Amino acid sequence: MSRRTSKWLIVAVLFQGAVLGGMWVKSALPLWTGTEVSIVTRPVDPRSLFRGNYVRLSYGINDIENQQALNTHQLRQGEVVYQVLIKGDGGIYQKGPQVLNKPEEGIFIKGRLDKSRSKHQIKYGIDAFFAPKEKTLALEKQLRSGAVAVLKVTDSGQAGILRVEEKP
Amino acid sequence: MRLIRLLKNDLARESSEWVQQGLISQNQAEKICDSYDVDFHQAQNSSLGYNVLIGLGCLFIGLSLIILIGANWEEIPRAIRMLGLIALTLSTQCYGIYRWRQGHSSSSYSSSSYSSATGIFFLGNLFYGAAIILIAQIYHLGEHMPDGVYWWALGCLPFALLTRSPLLMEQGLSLALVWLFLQADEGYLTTAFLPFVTASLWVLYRGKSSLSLLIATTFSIGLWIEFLLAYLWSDKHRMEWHPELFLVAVLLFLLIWLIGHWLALQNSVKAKDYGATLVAWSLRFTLVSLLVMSFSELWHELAKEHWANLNSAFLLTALLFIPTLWLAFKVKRLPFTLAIIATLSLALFTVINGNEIQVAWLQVADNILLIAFGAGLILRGIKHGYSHYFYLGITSILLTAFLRYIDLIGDYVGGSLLFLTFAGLLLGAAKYWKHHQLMHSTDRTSKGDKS
Repeated sequence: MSRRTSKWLIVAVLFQGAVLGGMWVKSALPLWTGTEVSIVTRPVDPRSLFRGNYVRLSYGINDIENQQALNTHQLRQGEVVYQVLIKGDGGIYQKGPQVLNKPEEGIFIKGRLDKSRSKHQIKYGIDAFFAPKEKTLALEKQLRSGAVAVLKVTDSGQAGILRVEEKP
Repeated sequence: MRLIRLLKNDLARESSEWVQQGLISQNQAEKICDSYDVDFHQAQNSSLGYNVLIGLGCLFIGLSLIILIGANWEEIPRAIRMLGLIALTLSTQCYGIYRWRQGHSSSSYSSSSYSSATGIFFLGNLFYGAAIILIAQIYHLGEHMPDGVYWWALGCLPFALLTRSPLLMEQGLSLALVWLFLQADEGYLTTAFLPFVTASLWVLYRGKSSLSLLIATTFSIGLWIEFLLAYLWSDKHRMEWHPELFLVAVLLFLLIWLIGHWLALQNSVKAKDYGATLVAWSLRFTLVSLLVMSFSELWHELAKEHWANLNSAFLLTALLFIPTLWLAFKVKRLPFTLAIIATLSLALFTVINGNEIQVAWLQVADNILLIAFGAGLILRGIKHGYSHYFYLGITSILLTAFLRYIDLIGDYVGGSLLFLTFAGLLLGAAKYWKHHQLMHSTDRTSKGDKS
């Protein structure tokens, strides 16, 4: 039994390696292949969870513009929603329509509906920017007047944060 | 059911002292230990303390690394940090496999190699979790944190299944429970908990006996069923409280209590140990539940609730009745089980259809039940020599008296009447016990005369 078990244990180790590799590729893919877009963000506050210090970022695209049109009450928690982005002045992208079906063209971000609070929101996985504690606090202070998050977005709508900088 | 089953290692060490004192022979001590499925010789050299210390040491190494990641050193390039941690995870797990193989290939069965391999896998699983946290940190992943916890728990699962180690299963199950709470808190359906429930049951069945894993698994299954129903009964696609969940929880505990009795009747020593644990915990739960329900506010709150899912709750109840009644018949507790079901049905009917005064009477009935429960346990404890029944019975009576002294039912006259009822029940129980003792001693005398 034990010899066969050892073989399967190797498979279990490979499984853990595959999970870590998969997470790495999935996380890095938007940064490798995505299109660069800048959107306005508001740093909310630094948090210290066991993942480390980070600035919590809030975006205008988190808010649902027309709750009735999207009919969020009828949607499941975590339902996929696409946020279309339209290029505005100074190259900063503005909020476009929020739709349930994947747009065929243009720049858009894939998000998930969050109904855990009374005010429904859309989360895109770009609401945390990790940095060392001192840098996090400095960043929060520096960006209080307004900030821009530079993202990379793939054709399928996956987004990753490249950097956060002062609003031009 | 005697709780000495759960203290068998202490029994083995105690019997060693009896041998030294010349009270029993070594052969007799071995036979006593055999009947509890514990090795007399191995128990004298128990490595439990050593294993616990090693396990805790591994846990703190892992936690130390996780906290260190929080420091978020930018001086070390992200690729080196990440590849370093992935390499650390994989090499630790590979060393664990090496130790596991050593245990197998050595000429004599080497349990220390197996247990050190288990400890190394435990540590490797912590490194694996730390690597997930690091990837989330490097790539600023703010997206749905429960996903990361789930992948962590899922990665631990194959090691628990392959080694059948209760420790590794507890590690995976604890992480899965964290995921369950996070996922449920954010309002998601939690069907993906199923692999962990199944795996825990399998490790309990095929692995070494583990009472802590048994309790964790039973708690997890109950909680999971409640969370699923809380979601499925909601018309808003999210978790919500429904009064029917209370009914299902009570029925589930009745079922667990009967499963405990059924397991105690099996030939397997492990099944008997599990049975004793389930019965002991079910009785404790009953005491706590009856104490909680001994306050009028809870009954009035339940009466105010909107019982919107009664039809599906009744359907589920009917399904639960099938194994409940079958087990009750098998363990010869059918009349008692039917009495519990009848009491529950009456309480439910009163809560849904009764007026305020009728609902208030449920509090009185619950207090009388508490005293009857306590008296019943005391009598059963004395009759069969089960000390934990005796002490649980005493605890329930004293707690009831204390709570009712502080929170009088129906003012002073009502409180006094209730205490008088308690006294009547206890004195009646004492009289029954005296009667039973007399009958017992008469039986013994007549048997002695015949012989």
